[in-house]
Amino acid sequence: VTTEGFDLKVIVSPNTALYFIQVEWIATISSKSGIYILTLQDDSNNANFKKLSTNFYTERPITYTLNYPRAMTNPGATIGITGFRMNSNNARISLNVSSIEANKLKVTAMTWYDTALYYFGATILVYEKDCIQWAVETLCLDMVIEL
Amino acid sequence: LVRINLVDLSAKATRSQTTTSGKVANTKFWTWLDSVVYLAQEVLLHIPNYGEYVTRTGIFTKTYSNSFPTASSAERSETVWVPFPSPFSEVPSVGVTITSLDLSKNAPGLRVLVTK
Repeated sequence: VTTEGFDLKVIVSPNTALYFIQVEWIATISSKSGIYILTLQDDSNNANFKKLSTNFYTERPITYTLNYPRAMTNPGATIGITGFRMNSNNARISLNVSSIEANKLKVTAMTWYDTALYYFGATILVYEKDCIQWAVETLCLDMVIEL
Repeated sequence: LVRINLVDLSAKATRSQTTTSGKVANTKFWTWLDSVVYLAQEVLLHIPNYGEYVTRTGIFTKTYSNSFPTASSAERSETVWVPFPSPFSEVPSVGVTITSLDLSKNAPGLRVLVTK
C-alpha cells in the first residue's frame, strides 16, 4: 500500500476456475476518519475451525473476538467476505458481526448442511455510529487592537 | 488557513490581511483617514491539508478470458495494482471485500488480499 494505490492479490485454489471477480475497496486514514479496518481469516489447520468441515447436516458456527485499535463510544461495524474454500457440494457460508462492544466485537462464521468449509477470510470496518465529521478544525483568535 | 471577518469595526475605512506560515497566522489591520478602530475580531479556520481526502472507495472488476481460469491442480495467483483516484497525504489503511464472482463449482476456493 502506498499513497498512490495498493496491490490486490487474487488467489485461486487448486482445481478452481475463476471467470469474473468484483472487489469493493475502501482506503482511509484511520486517525482522521475514525474508520478502522480489521481483518480475520481462519482455516482447517485450526482444530476449532475443523468442525466446519465435519459434522455434516448441522449448523456449524464458530465465533471470534476482535479488539479495536482504540475504544469507541458507540461503535458500528460492517463485514465482508474476502475468501473461502469449500467442498464440491452447495457453497454455504455466513458471516455476521454477532456482538459489538466499546472495545471489541464478535464475528460468527457459519456453514451448514453438507458443505465443508476449509477456509474463510473477512474484512470488518469499525466506526463511530454517531460521529459528526467536522470538515474543519476551528481555531478562534480574539484580538483587541487599540489605536 | 481561511479567514473570516467576524465583527465589524466601528470604522469607515479598515482593512486586514492574514498571512500564514506553517502553524502561525499573522493578521494585520489597517485604518486610515479619520477612522478609529475600537475593536477588531477575526475567526481563523484551520483546515489541515485543505481539500484532502481521508477516505476513498472504489470497485475493482476483472473478467478472465483464457489463461487464469484454466483449472489446475496448483494454487494460482496474480497481483494487480489498484490506483487511488487521487493520492493520499499519507499511507492509508485498505480493506477489500468480494461483492461479485463467477467461478467453477467444483471445490471452489478464492481469496483476495491487500499485500502488505
